[in-house]
Amino acid sequence: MKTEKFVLDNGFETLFLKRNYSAGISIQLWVKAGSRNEIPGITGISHMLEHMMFKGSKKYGPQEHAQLVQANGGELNAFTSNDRTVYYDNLPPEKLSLGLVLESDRFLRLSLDEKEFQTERQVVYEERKMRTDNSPYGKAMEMLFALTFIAHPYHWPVIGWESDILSWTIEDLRAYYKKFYSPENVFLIIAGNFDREKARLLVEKKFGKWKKIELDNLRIPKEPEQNGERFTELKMRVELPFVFSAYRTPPYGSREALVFDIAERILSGGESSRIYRKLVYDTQLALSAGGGVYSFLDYGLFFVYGILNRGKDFNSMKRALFEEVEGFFSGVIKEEELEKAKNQLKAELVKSTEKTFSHGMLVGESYFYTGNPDFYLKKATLYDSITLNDFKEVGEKFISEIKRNTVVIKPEGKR
Amino acid sequence: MKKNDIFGKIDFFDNNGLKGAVVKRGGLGSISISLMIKGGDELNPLGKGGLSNLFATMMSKGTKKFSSLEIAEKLDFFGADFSFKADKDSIIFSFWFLKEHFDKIFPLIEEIFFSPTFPEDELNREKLKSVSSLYQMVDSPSALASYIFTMNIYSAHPYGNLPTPESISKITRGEIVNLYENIFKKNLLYLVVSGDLNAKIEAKLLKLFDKLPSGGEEKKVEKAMYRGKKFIFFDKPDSTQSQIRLGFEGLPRETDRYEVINLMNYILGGGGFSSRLLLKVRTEAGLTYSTSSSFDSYKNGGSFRVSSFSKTETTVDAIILTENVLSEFIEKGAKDKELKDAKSFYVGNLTLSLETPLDVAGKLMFAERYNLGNDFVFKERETYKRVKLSEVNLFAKKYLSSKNRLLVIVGNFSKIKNQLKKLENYGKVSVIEKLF
Repeated sequence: MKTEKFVLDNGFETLFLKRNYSAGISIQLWVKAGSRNEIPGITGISHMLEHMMFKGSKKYGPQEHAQLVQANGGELNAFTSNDRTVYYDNLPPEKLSLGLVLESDRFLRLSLDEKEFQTERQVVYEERKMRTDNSPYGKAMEMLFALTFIAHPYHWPVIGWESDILSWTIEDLRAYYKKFYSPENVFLIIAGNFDREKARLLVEKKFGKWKKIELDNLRIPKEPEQNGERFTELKMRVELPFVFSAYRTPPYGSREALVFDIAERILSGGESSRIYRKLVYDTQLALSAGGGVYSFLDYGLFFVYGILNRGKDFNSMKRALFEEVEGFFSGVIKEEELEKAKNQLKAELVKSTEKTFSHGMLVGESYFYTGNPDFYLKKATLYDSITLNDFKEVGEKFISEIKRNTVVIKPEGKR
Repeated sequence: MKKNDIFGKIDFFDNNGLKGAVVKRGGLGSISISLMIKGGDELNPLGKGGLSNLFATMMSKGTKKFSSLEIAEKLDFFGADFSFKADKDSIIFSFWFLKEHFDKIFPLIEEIFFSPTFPEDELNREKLKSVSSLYQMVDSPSALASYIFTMNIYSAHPYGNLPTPESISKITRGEIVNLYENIFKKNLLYLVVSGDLNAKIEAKLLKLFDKLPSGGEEKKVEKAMYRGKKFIFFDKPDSTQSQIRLGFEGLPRETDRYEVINLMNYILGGGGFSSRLLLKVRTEAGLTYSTSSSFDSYKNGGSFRVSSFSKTETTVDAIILTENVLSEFIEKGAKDKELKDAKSFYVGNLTLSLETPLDVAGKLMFAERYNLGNDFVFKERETYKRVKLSEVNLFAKKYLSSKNRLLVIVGNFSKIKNQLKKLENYGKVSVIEKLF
């Protein structure tokens, strides 16, 4: 099923995804700003603003938006990533108006109260401690991005450096809100079971008066070419040592990014994948091993990991992991492996469309990254066009020891 | 019984002792199969914690016709999702795959359920992984705190018989084979096939599971109890934040009017942004990013717990504030508006939370396991509408007032110890530095 788009005079875009069989609706507002849009000194402010969006607007007090959605049978939340900030309200179909009224109030008239800000800063500080400072895996992931990107804003964590969290001011937040929360920089998705005409009128009424502002051209640094491995080793109180490695890859939507989607499946898609078989099954060097792909606006990141099994040799595990990944692109890939990966990716797409919320997310992601809300519908065909030759090409360009970025975490007192 | 609802068309069956349901929803292009065994922790002999989970994992690690790798290869090839897991009261096997692959996946399902061989070498692999996973858990303060809480709140009861490296190492292939032979019987199973089904697929699946042996009886287990006061501190000297679990004995899921418990807990700490705990401890005081309360209610008892975390310096403040919220709730009760909002949440959200056939399958299995009746999925919303404020407040006094409390903190002991006097009502603190 295809989406429909309409645009208000102020440039605010709405995408309708009609699913008459849905039990509810999902309202999603996608802000085209994330940690990529920050500068040193205020890292994490996109995420902090996401928190403040729940802390009161002109008509509604702190947490009242959330309480009203829940009191009407709905659920809501928001998340910030490197490129974007997304807010959503999943509601029974008859509550479309409520969702739009609430969203319109905070997007057009956010309070940003100083006292609320100071308390919420502590909440975010706690969140950072939980996700990163007291989590070996969170810490390693933060280091991995910092190594892989040295000039581009993907270098810093979405939640922000600790010292920045402690030093933001309410003025920083107000400036950021004014700059990025504007009708041309946000789009709306309504997915599920709703009346098209009623929805259109409601959107016009609630977002039509949102003032358009001139968007600045962002000047985002490009990554310099990487000509040598970057490596860091941290000592922490961990029981099991582990390794995370990443290679910088092309952005979302490119043909090369699709090749990496497939490569990731062959290398780590299930218990029959290459990394699992070699590291977890055959040699039993790793308790767990695999990989993943991040696809962003400006770059991507292809990463692999291995967590050592008890009593096994760490260097043997690390060597086996690198051999498996770096040997893959220049080695022999079987047609069946390619077909398996494509089957997995297609099945995942179907599964994502079973829920109204995740279907809306697919549309949002497609539109945000490619400008085509129905891009996800084309993905299966695009995957089919990838051939064995494509792997050799991307491997030569992006995957080798000198392009590798590695974080190793070992227990204190051990080498 | 047949019902047509937004959940799809549900047909319940009882085929020669095997009970279950067929949930049909056309157009999706996918099929789900879920098989539940009515048995969980009570299947693990004392000192053999983790047996039921290892058994569940081993079901896909080799059959008469296929090796473990061949099974993984075939399921992965068709992009099928599968999950085999044991929980407190049940073991659930579930598959999700595209309808177009049914003919290829069906023989695998048949082999997995009817001809598992539990190879010794595969068992040794899984045992090593299970042991390593337990050490990995120690690296996660949150998982570690929950593990210590569960182990202590249920102590000698089967629910407290958790896996340890020692218990895993003692499990034998014979015990796994024995478990399979004893529990794969119609009376102990519940089957839900769901999704984009047609008559041929439905008939084939029901015929397959009709081959299961008859009989089977659930093991009787005493009710779990918790008495006394206990305060356990797991010292992680490099921590800058503490994980907190506090709670007491709860109640079995089959408790009459359980919907009152759900509403009461929603208002107290289960309702996310609408809950009192989140409002007081996070939104107003900024002492945590997350705090929630839950009644973990099972077949033979349960527990109530508050799960939270706070930076080292404010750990004790967060616990005291949590206690104050709890005391105020017991003393003054909920407000009309809080109950009205909680009821509206459940009434509206129950439909949204059952959007996919797999969601519906989960609910049906839950209803079966806790004897809630086949019509539970249709009637549940109505039960919430009837709850009165006086009932919520009565339940709060009855089920939240226990003096027999357990507190678990995972954090930096040396930096907190001087403040622990404020937590005297939990008894003397026991500090541990190593779990295994």
